[in-house]
Amino acid sequence: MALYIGKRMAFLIVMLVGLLIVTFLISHVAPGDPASLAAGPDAPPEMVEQIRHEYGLDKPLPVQFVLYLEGILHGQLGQSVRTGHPVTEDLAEFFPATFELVTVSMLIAILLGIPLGMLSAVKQNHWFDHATRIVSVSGVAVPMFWLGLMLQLALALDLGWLPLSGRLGIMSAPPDPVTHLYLIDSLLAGQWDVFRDALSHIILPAVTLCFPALASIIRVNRAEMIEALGQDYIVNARAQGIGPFRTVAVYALKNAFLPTLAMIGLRYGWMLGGTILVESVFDWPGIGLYATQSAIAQDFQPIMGVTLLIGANFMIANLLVDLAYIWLDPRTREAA
Amino acid sequence: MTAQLPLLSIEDLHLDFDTFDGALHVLDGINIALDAGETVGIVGETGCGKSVTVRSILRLLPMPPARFSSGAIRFKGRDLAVASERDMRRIRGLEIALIPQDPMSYLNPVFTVGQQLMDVIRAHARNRPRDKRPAEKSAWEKAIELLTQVHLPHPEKQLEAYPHELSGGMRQRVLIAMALAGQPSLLIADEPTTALDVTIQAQILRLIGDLVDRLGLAVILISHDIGVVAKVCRRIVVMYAGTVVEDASAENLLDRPLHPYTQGLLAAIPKLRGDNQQLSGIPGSIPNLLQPPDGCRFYDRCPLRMDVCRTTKPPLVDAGGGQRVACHLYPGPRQEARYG
Amino acid sequence: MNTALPELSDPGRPSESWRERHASSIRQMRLYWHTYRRNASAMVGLVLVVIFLLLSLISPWIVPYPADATGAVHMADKLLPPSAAHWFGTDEVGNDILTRLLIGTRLSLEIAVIITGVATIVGVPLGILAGFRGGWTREIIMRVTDVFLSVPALVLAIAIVAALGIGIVNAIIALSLVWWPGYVRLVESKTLSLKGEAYVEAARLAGASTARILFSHILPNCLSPILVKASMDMGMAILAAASLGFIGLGAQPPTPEWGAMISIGRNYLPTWWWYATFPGLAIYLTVLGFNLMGDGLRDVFDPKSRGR
Repeated sequence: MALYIGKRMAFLIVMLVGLLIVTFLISHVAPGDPASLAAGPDAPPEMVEQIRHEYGLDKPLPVQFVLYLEGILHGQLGQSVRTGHPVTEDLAEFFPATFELVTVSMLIAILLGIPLGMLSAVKQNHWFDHATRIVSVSGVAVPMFWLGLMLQLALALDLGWLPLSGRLGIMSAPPDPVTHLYLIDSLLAGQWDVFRDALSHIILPAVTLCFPALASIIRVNRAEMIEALGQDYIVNARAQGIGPFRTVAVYALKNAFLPTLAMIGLRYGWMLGGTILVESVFDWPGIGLYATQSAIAQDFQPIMGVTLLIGANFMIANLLVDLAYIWLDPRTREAA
Repeated sequence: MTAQLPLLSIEDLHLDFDTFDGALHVLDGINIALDAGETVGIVGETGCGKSVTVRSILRLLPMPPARFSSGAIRFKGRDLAVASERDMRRIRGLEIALIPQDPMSYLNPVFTVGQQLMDVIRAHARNRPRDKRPAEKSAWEKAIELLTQVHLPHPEKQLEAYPHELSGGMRQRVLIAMALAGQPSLLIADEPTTALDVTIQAQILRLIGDLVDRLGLAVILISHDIGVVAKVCRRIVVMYAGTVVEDASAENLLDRPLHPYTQGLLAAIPKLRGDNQQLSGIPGSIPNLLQPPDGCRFYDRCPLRMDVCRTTKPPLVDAGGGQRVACHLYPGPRQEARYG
Repeated sequence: MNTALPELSDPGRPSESWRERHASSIRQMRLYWHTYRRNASAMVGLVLVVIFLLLSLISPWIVPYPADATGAVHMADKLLPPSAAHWFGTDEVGNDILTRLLIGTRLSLEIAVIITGVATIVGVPLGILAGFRGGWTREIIMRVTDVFLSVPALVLAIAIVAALGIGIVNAIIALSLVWWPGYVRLVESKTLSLKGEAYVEAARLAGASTARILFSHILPNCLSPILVKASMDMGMAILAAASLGFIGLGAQPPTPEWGAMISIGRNYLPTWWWYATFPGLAIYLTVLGFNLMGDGLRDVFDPKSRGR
């Protein structure tokens, strides 16, 4: 078991190196001159040359890659021309907002998706099943950014029930940073009004972001529950007198949960991509908005940094899903 | 004939399955009864309805599309066919218990054997009517007791095992332990040995026989293999295409089988000694259950058929010596039920 | 989808017509169609897709205001609400939104076809190669694929577009580069399982060349999952391109790309709501159509995969 974890970690490192190679290739082999890309569109030629020399961009490619790796290991991800800060600083500042948004969103998707999928499986062909089917099919097709705009239109602009954008209203100051997650920090500090404000601000973006994931989770869970409920061990449970709730919610669900978990892992990755769109719509100050603004300003280094950060994030999430699989399914434990 | 009420009495049970193409008439007037402590085997080929019959007793079939079109299933006097689901939950495991066929697929792969067994024990404790609750003993202790009863070595270790870590024979013993957990008066064993090797089969059958003797349980044992059934059961019921064709003590059935189908079944058993003979089978196949024949369902394959067999269903009659048969070859006093 | 072994030609037999030779395939197709037809949501998907394809073909001839398609400006008509004259209203330079939407259909179809096409043309052979060859070839291909798939598609696409420069062409290139690994994974696992099939073994023993085995046995049996994925990907590619357009990295104004239109329309919420609403609906219905169709195809080819 420990051997398996060890192997998996080694694999993770190989993947990270691979990702570094890909980002390196994108930034150095692409048609654009990497030095002027790093310097930004308005830089004078001397500055471009200086950057070229400083970053060793006049050296052969493999040497450049080694320099690049060295830089990464020292926490050097370059400088953002737009903000003037090192990319690492910017990422540290903006990442908590993204993390909070994605986590809340994923929680909504899981906490709603699994019960809805379960209920649909138990009440097949009921109107409830058809209603959730429509939601789950639409969920993947709806453009996230458009959904966000429509929600803003209906709930924020027309009805005024929820705020339009941002993490907090103008009147609220952010709570003392402990985790940098406003929801948790405000609770820790006992600041109820800040908590409520942060909550009302996160609802719309989180709901928008979770929609495709919610749809997929409902679908997979429903299909897997139907499959599990048709199995012999469910018949046996009934025959031995085990009640209907336990049969469905424990016996069947634990079996259905594993493929659902795989889908959750996959959808987490999509969510990390989708956050770019949602943050843009809601002016949510996370790394997605950071990346978008950098891209428009042709500020290149931050985009590489964001790519690396999101890539690493996704890889770790996949690792966690794999480990969860082993923990939950005794049969894979054997294979490991 | 005693006046004692039978433990279980299936009376003229008709079961239909509603499908897209129409109603399948799966069970066509089943009459089976057994007393407390009696062992009855049900044999028949695949598709004859033996599994469906016993699952109907426990109401494990999905009730649409399955449907009782007539008849009753009386257990200790109550008709289970019309009992509520809540009442059935008090019966399942506590009064009538099932030992299912394939231990691998009937055990949940993601829970330990102990968790599943203790779940059953706890469910029984909850469902049992108050006046009958046994002395307080932890579920764990009870689980160990049951596993010991079924001769599973090192029960404490086995409780922590997952189904795929145990051998087939051990898994079957776990299922038997589960079935005994509620102290039922009737055990239904649905092909308990089909998924096992021959040597393990013998062990399991011996275990079942042993439990019957010690605990005084009534048992219905289902198999397509008469040999298996003859080892454990005093009485054998032969089913064909949803009907009971013969019902006799094991000795009588094996010595003088009356129904042509039973005769065919016994003749089909290959003999290991003697001269080389052709393997004999029964040509043909079971009738279409969507539009079953008006007469005897065995008509197409029967070597001794007569004209009356095509038009009229043969009733189950007493052919003497406690042997009952449903065949026009043996006209006798018509009997709907065994008692009364 | 099973294919029969290619028949040995018999010099004594008169040559059969195309229809006779492919009789079993034709029957198979008809069976598929029959199964597909019975699925209500799949038919809805098919209708949506057909409408989409039709509109993209004939749009230049049916648009109510042809001049608006190329960005004619008439400020007098700017930001008019939906009416009989302008079903979906007008935009900030007075162009009829319905016209621009219809022309955008064509653009979306081009985008979808190019991205999906490149992805399949590159991804499928690589997948088959990886699955069939095994060993180092497979390791290298799969590791590269894994790395690409370890970053969410949109993120990687943005990185590539940032390197190449903003614009619809580069967006399409970026998305194509990001899309092919999905096919490699799909085809590789299918090829691996097919490799062990008895008829492949038989063909090899009979002396069939690798190319022949790949073409006649492996590829046809991979087709069904590829078709299902490609069908869904058509919609997903449109969505991805629209996303890039929305952020401002893809199509640039005045190109009537649906995502770019929404990005501008966003500035005119809530008063001139129609500008952002209708292009989004167009995206939704198109993607929905392809998704439902892909789902329907999956049910047709592998009925067990659905939770029925």
